[in-house]
Amino acid sequence: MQRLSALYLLVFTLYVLVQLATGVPHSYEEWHAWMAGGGVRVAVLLFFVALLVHAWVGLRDVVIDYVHPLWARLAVLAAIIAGEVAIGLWVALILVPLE
Amino acid sequence: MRPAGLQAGTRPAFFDLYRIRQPVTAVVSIGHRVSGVLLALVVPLLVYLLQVSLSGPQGYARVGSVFDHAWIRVLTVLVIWAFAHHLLAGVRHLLFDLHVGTRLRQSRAGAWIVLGAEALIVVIAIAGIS
Amino acid sequence: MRFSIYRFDPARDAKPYMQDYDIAVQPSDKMLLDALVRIKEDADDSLGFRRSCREGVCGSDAMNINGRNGLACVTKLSELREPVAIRPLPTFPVIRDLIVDMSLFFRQYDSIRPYLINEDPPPARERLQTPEERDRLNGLYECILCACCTSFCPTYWWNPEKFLGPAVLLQACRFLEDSRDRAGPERLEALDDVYKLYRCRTIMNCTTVCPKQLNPALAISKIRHKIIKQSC
Repeated sequence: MQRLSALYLLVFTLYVLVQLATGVPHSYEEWHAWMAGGGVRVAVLLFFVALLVHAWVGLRDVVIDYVHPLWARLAVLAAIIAGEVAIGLWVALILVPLE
Repeated sequence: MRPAGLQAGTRPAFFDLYRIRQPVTAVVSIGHRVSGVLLALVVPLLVYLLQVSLSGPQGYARVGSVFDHAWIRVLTVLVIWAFAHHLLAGVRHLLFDLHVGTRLRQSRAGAWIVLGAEALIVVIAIAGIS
Repeated sequence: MRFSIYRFDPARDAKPYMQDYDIAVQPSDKMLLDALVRIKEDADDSLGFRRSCREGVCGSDAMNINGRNGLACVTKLSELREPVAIRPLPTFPVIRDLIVDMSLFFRQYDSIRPYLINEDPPPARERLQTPEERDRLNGLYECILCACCTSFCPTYWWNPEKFLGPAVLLQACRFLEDSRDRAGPERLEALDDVYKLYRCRTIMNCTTVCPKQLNPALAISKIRHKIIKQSC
């Protein structure tokens, strides 16, 4: 899971870097148009899905390594999941209604 | 931090981390973990900037003006550093999974390449942002 | 030559301390073990450390030398910065001085069933292997269970009871690679949990310190591939 999400994140990053190299958006209109375009919007949404999956696996590993008491571990993991779900919903609310 | 195996009142153990000479591969590895946690903490901030930048021309301009502050630029360089390290160390990990660079000498060389490349990226970032 | 050695006698000391020694090393003393023996004979008979083969095959004298794990009997004195700081293997409970409790390590070794499992009727002589099959054991069978790798692994430091550690996992791989063994699927299933194998973060501390130049990180990667292949 971590490897697959990492691969998508890597490819997406390279794509963005190439885009930036060919021209940073100079105005709100350019930026909005680029983001709202069908392909980019789906790619960015998938980016955040991949990011949340990737971050979850990574943070979960950190918690398993360092947080040993079961109750503390469950509490921290639950907080991370809650935080990630919140971010996911937030991103969806930003990008889905965009036209 | 005490490892799980050690308990008070039983045998002592040698665990002065600062007396243990870590190899470069361990430095890259702990950097990978630290940068990952840092980036995770920064994500909400970035999503907020995304939201503001897409809210309208004023929002877009506001996001642009945020980078006028010196400490924001310092923060940006740090985030770029964390991202560069995490990405490069991650690629090194992916290659290892494919059994590329698994020998000790190659692994150490890979670690130094990661550190060198991220230093270069940080220098470029500092140049670009000033 | 100057040495600073970790001392702890549970009968006398409340906590460990470092003791300095300055001894006249003889030309015939080439390895750190020679110096330790000389310290014990000439300077301080109470110094405790394990040793046996003095040639790097038994693994008894594994210790932390100037911050890195290694075998005292194959560590050259000429390559050591002074004062030479000698400490026991990190995080292993200290019984006395440089002698550590290895019982968890060996329990974990036992848990992976380090013996051939083959219920087929035994042949008249050996169970045969082709040279290629035998070659697959290279880099795995040579492990002397010195614990230099395992006690240098940060992941093992944080979860010693649950993570098996590089040495034990390397040995698990040794039996998985042995063409004469028939318990491959069970061995892999036993390793397939959150802790035993998957805590490894490929930090490569193990491969860095192995005195036999083995590569536990690669062995662990091979086990991961086998598990993926088995689940496909």
